[in-house]
Amino acid sequence: MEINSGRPSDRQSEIEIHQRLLANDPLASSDLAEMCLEVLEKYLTRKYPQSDQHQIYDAVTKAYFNYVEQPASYDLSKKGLMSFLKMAAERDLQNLLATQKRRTLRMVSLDRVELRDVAGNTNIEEEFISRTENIARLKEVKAARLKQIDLVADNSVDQEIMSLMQADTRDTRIFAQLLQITHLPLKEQRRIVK
Amino acid sequence: MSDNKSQKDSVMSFAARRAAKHSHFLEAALESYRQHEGLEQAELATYLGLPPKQLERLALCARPDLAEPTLFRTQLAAICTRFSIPLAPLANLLRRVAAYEAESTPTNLMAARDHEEEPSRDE
Repeated sequence: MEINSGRPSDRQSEIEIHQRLLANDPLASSDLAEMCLEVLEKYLTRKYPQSDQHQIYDAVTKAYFNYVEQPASYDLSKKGLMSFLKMAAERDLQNLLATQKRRTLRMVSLDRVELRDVAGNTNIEEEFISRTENIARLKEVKAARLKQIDLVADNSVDQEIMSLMQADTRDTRIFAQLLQITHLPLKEQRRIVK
Repeated sequence: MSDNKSQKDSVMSFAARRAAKHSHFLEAALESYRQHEGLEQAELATYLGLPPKQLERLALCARPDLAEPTLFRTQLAAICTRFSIPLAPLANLLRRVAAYEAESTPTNLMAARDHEEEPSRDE
């Protein structure tokens, strides 16, 4: 085990501290903390100004602990140690933010249910308005479709058939009357209607 | 580090406190000892012969491994040299904490329970 008392600041120092961690130098993790924690904090604060201090500290320390406890997870040949830690801290912060977002959304939806069940009319009124708006919109769409049917259908029978289809009518007898095929056997009526 | 968080905490203090939950770090042992002995941070620093400001950096050192005596001695010496503190208090602290941990391991608890549940020969 080699003990190094220097304060690292460049690529060579990063390599050195990594090797000290692998060699079980008990001072390496403390030196690394001195070297990287504030740098990582500043990096994340600048890049994620919407995050609070606790979230940033959380992400920074998580990345630091993970690396110190498993230094072999870092491949020296791929990139600098600080870049590796920045990436890890950033990923941890993104995970934290995503978890918090999911939690907030869940709380909002639970609050809505509670308010609707307990607190009175506010949400019921909102829902009523929303439904009324939807019904009005649906009527507009139907009217537009009927207008299209008028334009496309050649005669009144065609128009009526298309209107029935538009209204989702399924009864063969209604279509049979319209097509004047009620004298045919039911099976035949069905075949023609289809 | 204690959980009494200051208004403007540094990321270093935060990490040092969090390290108490990671057995790899010396902080896990320092905090365990502090709690068992009912000490304040300043008292712990005094016991170790360390300026209180240095506790955070000490806390983030790796915990010397008692299971490997040669390595333990080398690691302990390295820490004490760097922080200019005497060997004995830190060595004593680490041994005491290892004893607390041995007392509370599940194997020991189960052995103690089995012993209590053993029917007496008089029955």
